[in-house]
Amino acid sequence: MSLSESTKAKLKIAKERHGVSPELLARVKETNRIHRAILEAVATEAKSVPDIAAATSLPSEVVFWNVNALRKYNKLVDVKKSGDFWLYQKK
Amino acid sequence: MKAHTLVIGAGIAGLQAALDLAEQGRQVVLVEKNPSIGGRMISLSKVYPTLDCASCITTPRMASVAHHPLIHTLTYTEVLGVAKNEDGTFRAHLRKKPRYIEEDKCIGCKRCEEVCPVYIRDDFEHQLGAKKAISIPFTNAIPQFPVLEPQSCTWCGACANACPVDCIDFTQESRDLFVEVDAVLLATGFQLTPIDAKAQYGGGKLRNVISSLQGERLLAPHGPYGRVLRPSDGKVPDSIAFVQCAGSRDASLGVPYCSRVCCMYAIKQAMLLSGSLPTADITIYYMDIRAFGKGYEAFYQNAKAMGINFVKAKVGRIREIEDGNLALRIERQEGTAQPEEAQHDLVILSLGLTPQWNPGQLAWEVKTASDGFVATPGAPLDPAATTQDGVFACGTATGPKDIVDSIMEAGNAATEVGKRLEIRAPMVPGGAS
Repeated sequence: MSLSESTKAKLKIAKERHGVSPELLARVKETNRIHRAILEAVATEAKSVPDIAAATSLPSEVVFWNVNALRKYNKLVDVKKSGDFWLYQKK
Repeated sequence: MKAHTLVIGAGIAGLQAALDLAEQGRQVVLVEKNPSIGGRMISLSKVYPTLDCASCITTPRMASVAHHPLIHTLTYTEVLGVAKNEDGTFRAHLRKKPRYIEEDKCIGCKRCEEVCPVYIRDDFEHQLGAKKAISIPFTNAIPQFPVLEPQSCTWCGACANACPVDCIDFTQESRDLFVEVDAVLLATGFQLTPIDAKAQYGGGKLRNVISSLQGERLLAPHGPYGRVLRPSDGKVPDSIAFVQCAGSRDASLGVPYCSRVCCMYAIKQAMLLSGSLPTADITIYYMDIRAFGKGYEAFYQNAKAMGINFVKAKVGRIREIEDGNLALRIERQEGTAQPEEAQHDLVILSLGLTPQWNPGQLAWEVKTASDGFVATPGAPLDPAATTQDGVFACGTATGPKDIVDSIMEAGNAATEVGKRLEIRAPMVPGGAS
């Protein structure tokens, strides 16, 4: 389904009214990049947050926050516990 | 719009007071600045000393309020002003903020949230979890309407494209409302002292030092991680410390008073953690344990019997060491006075309670006490009356107190409001006033 003409017009007005900061766009791009990297890391094998961090060269707290964002929106699941950590895998 | 009473704040005290007034046959306008009613209590895991589920107590009240024919609930609405009229009534100026959806069309299906590409930090989860730029505030929010945050929206239109009922309105604006009432009841609640207020506790920069409300979310069934894990790396914590009086009884923070609830919520969280993580070491560093309510001392003794380690000591400093672990410099107040260092995986700061809202910003005669909470000069005999005739207050708007006391005070305040209304607008037997 595509947007109706009236919705497109409202979107244009909202965009002019509120603007979109370059920082926001950069943040969205960066989040997308992080999510792709995490999902790629856990595509074939369940991994812990430190293992995903090592595989993606991302800080562990960034990985953990985004792992939970992806878990909340059903992109990955926690499968089992291994030692002190849970392992996450692409859904 | 006209009503008998304006209740400001839809936390547990505001909900209870609104319900009690409505049950008296009084028309209530209930205003809440957040997108959902429920206040702080709906975000808690369990309550002490019974360990009942907080949601199970709050949700039925939320539903009763939402469906009561005499309660008009306005969420996502701010109070801009309250003026007293010459006849003793009040005229409140409210502003309903835009959700950017048409509430009469929305079916709460969450399709907009699913397709939104922008992930942001979730205030309901105290920044621990994620939500989207358009999202329903939390699982059992009432009403179940999403809110679009314009500062985080890229205006891509994905939400509108996915909406099955065409309810997204990108051009929605705030709407001003005016309410005429006979009485006003303040139930504006509390906030925690800032986690970054004390540089010696890391100034909010240590990844595994969290606030007590973040601790509640870790323990909640629908919490950000689904279980108790620490934020830096998702490790299951094996050694957890609570630091008491981390934001109250501290003149340097401007909070010299005791927040009254921290001892008990820390004991409760420690017991719940002990249940979730049976092998973890849990330590509470405290100055005094203030277990003053009914059943509270037994609750405290049960925690000790469960193996919670109570250490009478002041924590002087917290610093991060390797792997995100934390070193606490402590000075015991019993036995040796030599400073010691203790290591833990996760630290929960028992932050103090301060007022959520300052009524002084409105042009009226409601005064605050020296601690910033709403002054109730008639307490304890008349605890709901403020310094302005016709304006009442209850719950943590008047000072730190727990849920039991807040509910009890709300009931009392509803009675006091009812007494005023009985003089100004007497009930007609068998009908409205």
